[in-house]
Amino acid sequence: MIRFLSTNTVPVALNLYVIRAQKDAAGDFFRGVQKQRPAQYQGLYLVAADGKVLASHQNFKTHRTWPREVLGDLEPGLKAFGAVKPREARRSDPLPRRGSGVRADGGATPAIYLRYSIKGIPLNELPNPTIDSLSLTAKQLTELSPPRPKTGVSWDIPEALGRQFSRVLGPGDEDSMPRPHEVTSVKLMGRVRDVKDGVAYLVYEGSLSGSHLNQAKKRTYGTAKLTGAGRYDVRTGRLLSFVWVFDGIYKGPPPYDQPASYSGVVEWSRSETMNDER
Amino acid sequence: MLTITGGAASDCSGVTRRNFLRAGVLNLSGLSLHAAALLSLTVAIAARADSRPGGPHPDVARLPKKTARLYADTTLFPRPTKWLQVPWLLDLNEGIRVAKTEGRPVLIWVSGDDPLARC
Repeated sequence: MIRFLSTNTVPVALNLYVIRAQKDAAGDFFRGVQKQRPAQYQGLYLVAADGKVLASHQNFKTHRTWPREVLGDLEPGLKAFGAVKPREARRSDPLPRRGSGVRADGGATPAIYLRYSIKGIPLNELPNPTIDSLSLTAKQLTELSPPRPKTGVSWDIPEALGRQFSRVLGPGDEDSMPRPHEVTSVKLMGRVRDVKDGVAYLVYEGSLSGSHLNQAKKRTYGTAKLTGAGRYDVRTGRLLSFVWVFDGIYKGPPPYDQPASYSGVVEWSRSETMNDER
Repeated sequence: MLTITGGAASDCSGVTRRNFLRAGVLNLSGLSLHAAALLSLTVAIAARADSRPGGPHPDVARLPKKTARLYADTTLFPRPTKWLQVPWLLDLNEGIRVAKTEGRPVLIWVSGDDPLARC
């Protein structure tokens, strides 16, 4: 399936809520696609450049047969389009700077990983974690840094910044996840554990809770405790890295509202190789 | 990532939370769960996609042991993320332009999240 998509089509990944509201040619194109498939909410559409939908795929029967089902839906559409020359597009990183590096505006994009507790699940049945990211401004990076890089100095992380970490309160898709304004309590702090060879070693701790009203108008709840570590360059006055680990409890919307253990990781390093000290 | 519609609380692989609640038997020849998780993480790093951690984060060694284990459990990728091998564009205008130039159709993957981000 990877080969089919990569060599025959121009693959484009989009957020439904963004593209369908977009007021340009792409938005018009997508709205035209939706009109041809009114019963489809999300999924895959194979579309000619003139806007004609050739094939589509949304629901599937089983995980095991899913790839074959996708091909079964899309291949007839490609056949109807006609012969295409195999494509040799090189994959570029669609998520540059996720988890490392600094953007041109001085901000950063920490990587997020979330998963329900894996205890008792056979490794061969374990799915991958949820992956996500968070956009921080240059100012917010400084708010994760100590006001003075001296052993014992502690500081409270501003509430407005703490609320931005609400993404870690929902381990599923975005409909599970409280938004910053849905955070009900936040108390996060940092402390300089020690300073050695020009690097201040930081610890972070705290807690975060929130409740999200989902699309079905039902509530989800997440609460998590933070334990974290980081490094700060005393000479340059810049945060070098941090890793935050959240140990949480999540309650989905009824009837899936039994408390479930989950965990989250938010990590970032100034160096894009994750190994440099400066 | 495609999500299962219909209200079941799901993770981003489409597996419902009911699957997580099934009791299972660890079958990795006597390894503890955490040792197995760390071993698999090592193996996974060798075959990783871009969505995985690029390697041991420099600050993990300074976390308490229990927290470091939780980090390893959380960032374990037992399955390949092959969907990231596809040369995705994020701009439909650009996709339509390339499709016209190359004489091939556009494959639009749309979800209620940023499909390359939240999942």
